[in-house]
Amino acid sequence: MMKVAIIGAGLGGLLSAAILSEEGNSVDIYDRLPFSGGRFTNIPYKGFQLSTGALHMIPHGNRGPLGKILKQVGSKVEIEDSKPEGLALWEGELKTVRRKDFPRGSRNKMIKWYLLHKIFRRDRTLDKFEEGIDTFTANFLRSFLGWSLSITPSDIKFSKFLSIVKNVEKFGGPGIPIGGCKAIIDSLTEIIKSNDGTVNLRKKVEGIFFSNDIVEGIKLKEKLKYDLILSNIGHDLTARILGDEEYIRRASKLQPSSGVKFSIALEEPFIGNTGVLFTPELKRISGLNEVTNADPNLAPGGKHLLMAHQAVLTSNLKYEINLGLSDLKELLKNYKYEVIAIQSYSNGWPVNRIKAGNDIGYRTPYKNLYIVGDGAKGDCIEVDGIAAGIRNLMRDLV
Amino acid sequence: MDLPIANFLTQQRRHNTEMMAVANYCVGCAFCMLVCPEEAINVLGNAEIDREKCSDCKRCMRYCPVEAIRLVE
Repeated sequence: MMKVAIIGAGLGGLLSAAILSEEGNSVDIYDRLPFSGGRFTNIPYKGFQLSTGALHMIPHGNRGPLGKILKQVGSKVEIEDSKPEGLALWEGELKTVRRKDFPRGSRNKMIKWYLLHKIFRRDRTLDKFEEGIDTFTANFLRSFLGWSLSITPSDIKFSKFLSIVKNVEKFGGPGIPIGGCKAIIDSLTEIIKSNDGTVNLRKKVEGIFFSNDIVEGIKLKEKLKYDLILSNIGHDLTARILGDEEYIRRASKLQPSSGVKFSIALEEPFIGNTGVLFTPELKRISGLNEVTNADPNLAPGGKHLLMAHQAVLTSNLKYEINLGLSDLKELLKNYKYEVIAIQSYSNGWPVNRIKAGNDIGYRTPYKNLYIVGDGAKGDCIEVDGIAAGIRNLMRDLV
Repeated sequence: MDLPIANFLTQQRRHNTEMMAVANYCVGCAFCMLVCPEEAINVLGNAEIDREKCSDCKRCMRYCPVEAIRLVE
C-alpha cells in the first residue's frame, strides 16, 4: 500500500485518485480552490448548470478512455451518447460529416497524404493539406480543429490528426454526462471517499520537498510525507512549486491553447439533438452543443442551454469575443436568445495546458512524481486525452 | 436604501477600507461572476467589479483559479 498525495482536484486528480484508492492505496487530494472538478464541473448560475470549462461533453462518450475508466472504478454516472454524433451547417443545410460526405478530390488527397506518411514518413502541418481542396472540406477541417483542440490547421501535423480521426472511428463520437461535468466529479469523489481517500479543499500546496531525484512529500502549512505524488496542475506550475530551475526552463516552453465559451439561454431548442453542430461558415465560432436535449435539468423551467466554442486566433481577446458574438447574432437571428456567460481561457487557466501534439508525457525529473490531467494527456483529445494519459501512467506504475 | 446619507456612509466605508481589485492577468473565466451573490461582476475577457454593488464578501477571491482578485487598500 502506498501513501499518495494528489495536487489538484480536477478531473485528472480525481480519476487517478479513484483508481489508486480502489487498488487499496491511501490517497489524499489537495486543491487550492473551494470546489473540486477544476475546469470540468458545474457552477449554478441563474438556474442553469454552467460548466467551469469543458462543454458538458465527453469526446468519445461511453466507449472512449474516460468512459472505460469510469466503468472500471464502478462509477454509475450516465453518459448519453450523441445522436447524431455531429452535423455541419453549410449553405443553410445540415450535412452529415462521414467520409463519404466529403468531395472525392479531398478524400483522394487524404489517401495520398496517408500513403506518403506510411511509406515515406512525410508529416506536414495541415495548412498544407488545406491548400487547393474544396471550401467545404477546408472550412470543416478548421471548425473541427477549433472545436476539439482550439487550434488552426497550421498548429497540427498530419500524424496527430490521423490519430484523432482513427480514435473517432474506433471509439465513436461524443456523449453528454447526465447532470453535466459535475455528475462525473461527484461520482468519483464518492468512490474516493468510500475507499477512505480524502479530498481537501482550500488547501494550497506551497511546495514539494525532495532529496536527489526522489520526492518525499508536500508542504502545506506543515510538511506531509508521501510515497508517491501526482500533480494535476501541469508541468509548469509543478516545476515552480518544486523550485527546480532546469525543469522550470523546460516546462515554461510549453504553449497552452486559448478559447472562449459562450453559454446561451434559449426558450426553444436551436440544435434539437444531442450531437455537435459544427459551424464551418462562421468567422470564429467552430461549433455548438445543446446539452439540455440530453438532460433538461441543466436549464431551468423548460429552457435550453446552448454552448458555443471558439478558438482565440489573435492577441486581442475583446476583438475575438466580438467576432464570436457577431457569429451568434447571425446564427441565431431567428431565435430569442440571451448570452448568459462569456468565459475565456488562456495562460495559467487555458483550454489546454499544452497545444495538441506538443505533449512531453507524464514523467518529471523525479522518480515518484508524475503529472496527471490536462498537462499530460495521452493520445486522445480533451478529457479522453486526460483518461488516456492516466491509463498509460497506471500501467507504468504497476 | 435611497437616503443620501446612507449612500454617503457606504461610500465612506468603501473609501476607508480595503477593496477587491482585479489584476491584469485575469483570464476571463468568469467564475467570479458566476459565484458573486451581489451580481457585482461583469466579465468580457476580464473581470470588472462594480464597487457600488460589491459587499466585500471575498467569494470571488476564493474562486479565482489564477489568484487575480486581491484585496487592495
